[in-house]
Amino acid sequence: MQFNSPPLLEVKDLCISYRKGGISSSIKGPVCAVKGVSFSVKPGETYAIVGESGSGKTSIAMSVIGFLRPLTGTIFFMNKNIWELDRSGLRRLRSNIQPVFQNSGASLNPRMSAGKIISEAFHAIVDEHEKEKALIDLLRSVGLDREILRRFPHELSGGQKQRLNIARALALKPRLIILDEPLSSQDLSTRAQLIHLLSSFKKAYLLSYILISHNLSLVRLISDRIAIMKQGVFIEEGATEQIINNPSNNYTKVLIEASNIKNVKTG
Amino acid sequence: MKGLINILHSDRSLQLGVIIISVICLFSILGPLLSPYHYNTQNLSESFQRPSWSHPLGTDFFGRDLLTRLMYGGRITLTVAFSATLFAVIIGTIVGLASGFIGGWLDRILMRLVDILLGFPKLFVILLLVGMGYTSLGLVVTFLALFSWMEIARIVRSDVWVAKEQLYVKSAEALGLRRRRIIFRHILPNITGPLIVSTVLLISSLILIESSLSFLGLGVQPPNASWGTILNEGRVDPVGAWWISVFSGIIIVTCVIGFNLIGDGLRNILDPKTGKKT
Ligand SMILES: Nc1ncnc2c1ncn2[C@@H]1O[C@H](COP(=O)(O)OP(=O)(O)OP(=O)(O)O)[C@@H](O)[C@H]1O
Ligand SMILES: [Mg+2]
Repeated sequence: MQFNSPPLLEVKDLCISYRKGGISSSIKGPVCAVKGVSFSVKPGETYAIVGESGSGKTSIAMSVIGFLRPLTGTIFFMNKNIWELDRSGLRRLRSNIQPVFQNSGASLNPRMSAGKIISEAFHAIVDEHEKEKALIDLLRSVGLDREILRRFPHELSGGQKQRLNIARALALKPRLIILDEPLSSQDLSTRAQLIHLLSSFKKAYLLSYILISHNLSLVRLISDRIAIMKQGVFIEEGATEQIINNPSNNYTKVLIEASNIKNVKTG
Repeated sequence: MKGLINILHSDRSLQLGVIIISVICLFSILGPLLSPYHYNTQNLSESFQRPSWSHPLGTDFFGRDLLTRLMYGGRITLTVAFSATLFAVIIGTIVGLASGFIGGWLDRILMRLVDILLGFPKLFVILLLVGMGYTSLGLVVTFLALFSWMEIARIVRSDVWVAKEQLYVKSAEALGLRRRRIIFRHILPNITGPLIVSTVLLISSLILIESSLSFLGLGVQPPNASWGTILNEGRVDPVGAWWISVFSGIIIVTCVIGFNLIGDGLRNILDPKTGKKT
């Protein structure tokens, strides 16, 4: 971890609204899904955003990846304001931020075989031989068998699908991976394996993660810092142990109670 | 191939439609080759013969064998309908993809154009154009296509609208793939179902329009003959020589029903809400 280095991602005063103009919005002001959120992520850091359903976690993720234009606020990634880049600039930058979504099945094109899906991620490599080698290495590192390459997404298990998503996200050697509830549709043993996998990559590639979840006990296993989110705002932010052991906000205390961390050491 | 047979077995109306259309296609493609008569050689001594062994569907005023003429007319009618549909689908798909994926002002302009063209009474405008003397087969096909792509464009656009929000498209975008790749590899393959259905239904509606044009003497011109032309020839003596109108009418209707059955069957199978396709 390089906690003294400049941040990889810096989000300032982010406001996200799903209303686009219209009469009612000019009277009442826009309804914001995310209000005045600021945070930064350093190289190699895992930053967790925890909050109840509808609190705005996915909205933040979508803005950071460049899919959802914020109403106000700035998002600097690798010292570039991503919402001031043109289309080709954003496209080049994109390979450095990769998403892994909660719904592992919906993130895979149903009409493409696993092999196609994963080799598409290596579009930067022209040499077929090199591509093949990179692909095999990557598959091994996420624990997938070569044999699944011929299969289509509906022929894979939930865990295999999510491994495939993770592999695709890793293929371009990004600096930041945004994990939007990556494990919530997985069973317990798969979760444990995937957590292990994610932390091993973090060390190997000096990756940063933004880990989005509503599950504190899972988050605390791999995150360095945690932000607690409620109704579109960050209500508390701090180092993982500080948040868990010494929360200042009542809502955070409720979340900790609910997740049973104090009783079950490993979550 | 095995998958194709399975699909055929899964829906009765599809099965029936495919059988009808296959028979009509074979009839039109092979028939003229096997028939002892020529579709356009006159033999006035055999004028208006009733259906018989030598002329199963009878003859027309000029003594031409009706069965041979219908088989030959099928070639023209189907060729016109298929090629006009092909052009309409190509235009409609391109417009729909551009409009749906790129959006913004391009979408507004294209959809306004679609609204305007849809506002024209299609048959009337084509009648007008053809009536002004633009009657070659190529022009008829062009007119039909130019006034038929709009529905396709609308369907494609709204499907693209849905597809581009899917997480697999977002994931592909996040990889930094080029737009063209995203459109043709990730979006288009996932919206083919509704597109195929409307294509098949368009064929049947164009068969009807082409037949109407030819019936009015404005579409296919002699010596060529389409089913509509032949239907028109039956007007000379609809009671005395009933077989001309009856048989040409039957084949037009059967063909339209056949395509509609295929369209409905495919819709049942391909509709993402009710069916599943692997
Ligand atoms: N496409 C959309 N259009 C309009 N409103 C939306 C849209 N997506 C999300 N919202 C609203 O924005 C708010 C935040 O949603 P968001 O998806 O960011 O929450 P979340 O924290 O990710 O929730 P969950 O844990 O359920 O995934 C919610 O109130 C939601 O209703
Ligand atoms: Mg969410």
